[in-house]
Amino acid sequence: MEYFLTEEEEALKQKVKKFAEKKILSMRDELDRTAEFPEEIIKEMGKEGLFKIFIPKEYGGTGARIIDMCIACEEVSRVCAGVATAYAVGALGSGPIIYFASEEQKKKYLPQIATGEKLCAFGLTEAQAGSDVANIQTTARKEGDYYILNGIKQFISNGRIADIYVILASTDKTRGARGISALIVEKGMPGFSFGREENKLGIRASTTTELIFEECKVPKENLMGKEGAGFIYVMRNFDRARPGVGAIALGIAQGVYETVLDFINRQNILNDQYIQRMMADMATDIEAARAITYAAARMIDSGARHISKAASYSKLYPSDIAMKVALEAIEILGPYGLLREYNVEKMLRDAKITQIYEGTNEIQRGVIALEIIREIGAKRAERGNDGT
Amino acid sequence: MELNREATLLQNEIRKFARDVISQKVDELDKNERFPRDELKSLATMGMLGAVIPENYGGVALDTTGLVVVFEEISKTCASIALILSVHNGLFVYPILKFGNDEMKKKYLPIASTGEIIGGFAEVSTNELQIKLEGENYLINGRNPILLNGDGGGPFIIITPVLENKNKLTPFLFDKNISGYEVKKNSNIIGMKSAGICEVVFNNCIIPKTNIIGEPNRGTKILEEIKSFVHICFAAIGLGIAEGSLENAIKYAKTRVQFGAPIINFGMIREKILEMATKIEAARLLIYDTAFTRDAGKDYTKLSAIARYFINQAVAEITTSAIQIYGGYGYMKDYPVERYFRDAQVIRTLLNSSPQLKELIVQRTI
Repeated sequence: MEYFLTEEEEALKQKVKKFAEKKILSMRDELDRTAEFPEEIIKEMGKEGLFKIFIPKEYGGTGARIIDMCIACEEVSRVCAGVATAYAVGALGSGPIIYFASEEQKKKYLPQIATGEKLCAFGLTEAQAGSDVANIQTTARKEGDYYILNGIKQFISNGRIADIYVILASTDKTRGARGISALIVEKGMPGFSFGREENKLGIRASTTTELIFEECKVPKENLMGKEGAGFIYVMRNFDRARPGVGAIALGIAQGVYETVLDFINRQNILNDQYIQRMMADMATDIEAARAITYAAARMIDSGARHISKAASYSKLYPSDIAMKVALEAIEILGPYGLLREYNVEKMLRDAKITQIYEGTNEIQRGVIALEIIREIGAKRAERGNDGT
Repeated sequence: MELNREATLLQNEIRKFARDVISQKVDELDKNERFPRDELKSLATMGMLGAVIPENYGGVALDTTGLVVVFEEISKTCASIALILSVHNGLFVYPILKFGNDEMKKKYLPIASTGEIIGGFAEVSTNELQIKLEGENYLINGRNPILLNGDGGGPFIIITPVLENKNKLTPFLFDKNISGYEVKKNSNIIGMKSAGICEVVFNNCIIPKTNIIGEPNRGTKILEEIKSFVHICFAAIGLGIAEGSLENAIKYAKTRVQFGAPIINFGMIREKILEMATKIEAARLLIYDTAFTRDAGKDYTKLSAIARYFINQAVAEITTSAIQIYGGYGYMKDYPVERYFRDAQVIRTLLNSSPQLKELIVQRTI
């Protein structure tokens, strides 16, 4: 379908597509087998200027537009969702700095991220704080010119690989969610080390690591924004990052679909109506997923105020579609679908994470429901004011 | 649904074995892709390698209900082991028993009962193998990526069309005395990692006509009949996988605390459990009804296809939901639900070209 991409957007799409096919395609199977981080590929992405799209123009980027992020993530993910995840974390990690950091912090970190020289990551999740993000146990206590960090972050994408980490920690336990603050922590700061690396079902090219903070000394100027505002920053950052996850899911679905088309074409079963029904549904579902992702991206880029619902739509729907399409693809390919050489099984394994990370789909449904309830409340209040 | 006394005793016995023995090994089996020889030896002493073999050949001749009980119970813990048993019994022993000559029966059934041999099977298309008649022999070249029970060491049955007659199937029985083929582990399969699925490569392999089960080009009917039977077995494995993943998901949801409460208290988790439990119960009724129908000597072809079709969809959804309930943990290899999910893909796909299964149900219905 036609999404009326501008010339620049279309050029970005073609550039990323070409890059993915030239540099990632031949590597994806090995990356999946070995679960090695695609360091070379990420470096080359930096050289190609692909991290610039995450960063505003004033700091060496091309504008930090959500639509650009979606276009790029979809095209990378169409070839390999593991690499796409490693790449997209660049947006998830830089987002809080872009929107909530001081001018000094922005000047210090963002240009390096834009060039790909430094990789960033986002440290929120803990063993007891998965969906319940406010339940984080990591603490940051202020001592003189430093915050002293203690705690363990879990399942952190690009952990160990990244240089710059946005870490959420409690500066005031008595205040719960309102006591959470965001700090910029650099690799190599004393007391910051890495723990176990996870062995995952899919997106194996992306690294998932524990971050360990033991009396880690972080200069107090590395506090982002205000103390106690971290939780709000996290939520607002998620609103901007979620369409990127939708785009990763969309890329997987698109990749699966193209593989299936190729298969049924070679098997000469295009005239089978069972197959035609599945093809038609896949194509329709994928277009609907793309439409919702792009629409949310455009809405956020327009500066709209209430974006949480749209952001959750754009993560929820494409990820469910990616799973649906991948499961059906296995059915179409039959036993061949089980084999590594056809790649559908990898895309199915990859697809599952999109229903989980950056807020499970249950959390997305919760966000959407709460927004709907909020809207109902607002309407009621309005009617009340009218005296009706 | 009530099981009779015999089936209940069998269920208890297998359940105990799964709990005491298999559950200790299942992670290691999956991780190392190890073929479970020791576990199969124990199962052989319990008669499970001769499950469909009559007593006069040394088997225990379970009825269909008994078989379903066995596959269901083992798959709750380890689907790979259940798959090995079902391939041996349903795809190797059963065709010989039903369509083989006396010589084959005498030669293979007694040693299959004891587990001295573990039989394998592959269904192969002409794209993969070229089989040509040359005098009294067939000449075979090509490869097939999915030889079930390949690690068992054979013998195995391959059902395939020959070049002279591409629309008909011929079942060949490969034994150790046949040379010109090589069996090697296929690690490139998403799941059933310890079921010993192999790749088989034929290089000018010569097999005599006498190794055909039944007559040349008469295999289509044989395959249909085998499939009807095996659909029940594979459906039972799918059911076990679904039940195992639900059980694990419930256990996890009861202990995982988020937002100050075990997540099992949350409506969206409860709704998943509702969906999973409902589909499992429906699948159970279908599968056992199919087994009862076959045991009563009635035509079960349509029912077994429906049972298989239903569980194929259900097991995909249920294992996906189990991972979802575990959240991020479910995606990690330290927890069992990702294995159930991978194994589910295999069981819902094997011997199931999906339009064919659907068409069979439609034709029998209209």
